[in-house]
Amino acid sequence: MSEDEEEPPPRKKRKKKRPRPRVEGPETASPEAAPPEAPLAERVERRIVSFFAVPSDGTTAALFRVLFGAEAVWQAVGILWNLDRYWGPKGMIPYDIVAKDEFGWLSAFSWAPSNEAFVHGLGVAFAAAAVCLLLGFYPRIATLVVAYLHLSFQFRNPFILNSGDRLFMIIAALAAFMPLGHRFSIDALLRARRGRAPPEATVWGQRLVGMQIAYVYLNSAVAKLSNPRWQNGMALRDVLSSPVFAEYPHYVDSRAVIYFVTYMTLALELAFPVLVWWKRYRPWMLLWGIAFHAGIDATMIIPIFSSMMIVSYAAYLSDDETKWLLGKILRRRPPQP
Amino acid sequence: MRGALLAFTLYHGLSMLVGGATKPIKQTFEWVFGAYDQGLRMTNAWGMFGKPPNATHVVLEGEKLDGSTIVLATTKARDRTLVERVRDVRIRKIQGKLSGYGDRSRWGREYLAWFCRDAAARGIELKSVRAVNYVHELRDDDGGIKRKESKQTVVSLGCVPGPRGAPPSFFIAPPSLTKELDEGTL
Repeated sequence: MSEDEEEPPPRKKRKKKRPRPRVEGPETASPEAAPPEAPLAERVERRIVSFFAVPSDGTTAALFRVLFGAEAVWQAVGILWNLDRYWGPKGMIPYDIVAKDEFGWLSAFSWAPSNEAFVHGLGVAFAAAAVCLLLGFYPRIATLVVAYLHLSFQFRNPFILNSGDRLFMIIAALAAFMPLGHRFSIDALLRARRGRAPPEATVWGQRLVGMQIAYVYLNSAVAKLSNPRWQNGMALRDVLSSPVFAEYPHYVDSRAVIYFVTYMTLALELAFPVLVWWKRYRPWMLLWGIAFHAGIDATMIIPIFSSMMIVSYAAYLSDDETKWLLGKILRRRPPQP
Repeated sequence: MRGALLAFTLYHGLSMLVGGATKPIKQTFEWVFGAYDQGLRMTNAWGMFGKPPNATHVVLEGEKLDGSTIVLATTKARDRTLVERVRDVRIRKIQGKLSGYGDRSRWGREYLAWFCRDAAARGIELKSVRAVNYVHELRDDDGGIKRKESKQTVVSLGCVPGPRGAPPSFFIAPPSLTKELDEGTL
């Protein structure tokens, strides 16, 4: 037997050494494993907690905060620009029309619906909260204010909403569970000046946002799979020819192209919610998702939704991945822990 | 603290699943998740073109006193300037709803009245405002025409009082005229 035959090829060797995919990234703290003799309920609970309660230094939460804060500021621009016509007492939709909503009392508008100054105040408060979120000044409170006021705006005029609005508000509420102000924030600056260390934090909020985004894809895929147009691969022909939704409405006559884009959409929506949790597949899933949503934004007229999805992708990154990414973007070595 | 977080996570996770489920499932669990879904709006169904898009363009036209017509608001994004595209990004949603009888009968008059007032505030004297539904052509997979292009006024409102102080004219297309659109069968 020759030497070459005795030694396994280097490629095979690398494959053998590759660790099996894990739900948590390898950089995450090890879960406090329950002993095998522990009751099932305890083992399940520990497993869940080990997924959610991984310690975090807040780097990913900070990246998420900046991206989501920018999205919130953009929403605030839209709100202030259209405040009077969409939400004002003399606007397109009089308050009487929406006043009978069963949960309308939850909206801040119910306090003084016909007071113009109050409505303007709500708009300014939303903008201020969005800026605080972006800069990291009491960001967890800011994100809750953003979520609540957005909910109020939704109640006041539900006729202008799309899925992106609903997603924005849900993510804003869930973001309150993230350590948004631990790094790159005014809060962090003030804390450093006082010589105080940030409180301990976990990735719990990140996981909630991640689960939410994964469910959006999964739910969308299930809805699509029940429709014959998606089953026979022709659904995107209808979508891309819609003069209302398509930027350049056109009947694509190539079946190969239509099959490809239709089934690739389904493939992403089915693969993403599962594979994004594995460190090995995560970069590919995120890149695929970004390309997918960039494609939607370029070819379709669907505001907010795509940018919201891309912004929320930040929640899938571990702190180390975020540091690596920021290091690459800023072209310097990642900060040492 | 961790227990409360775990309880919330479980509740949110379950409500997320139920919120995206079919109507009968949602109704079954309404007593548990109803307020979280419809009150706090923390769940949703994410269809995302699960059904073929059925929306049509609705253009709001104003008739001036001299009989000429101007476009006041359009759902056609490509007919707008860049600034208008950003500002009016939500117009498609609200104005497109006028093609459905339920919405136009609920708030169509008030919506059009706002455009009368807005035009007057900008110094444009309008005789009336109307919402025109532009139903686009639909083709089947072999290129054959499934539905022809057409347009119809779905709601209109006079901006000035009628003769002898009568209230401004108001017209709303009955559901039968837009039945297929309302039912989503077009």
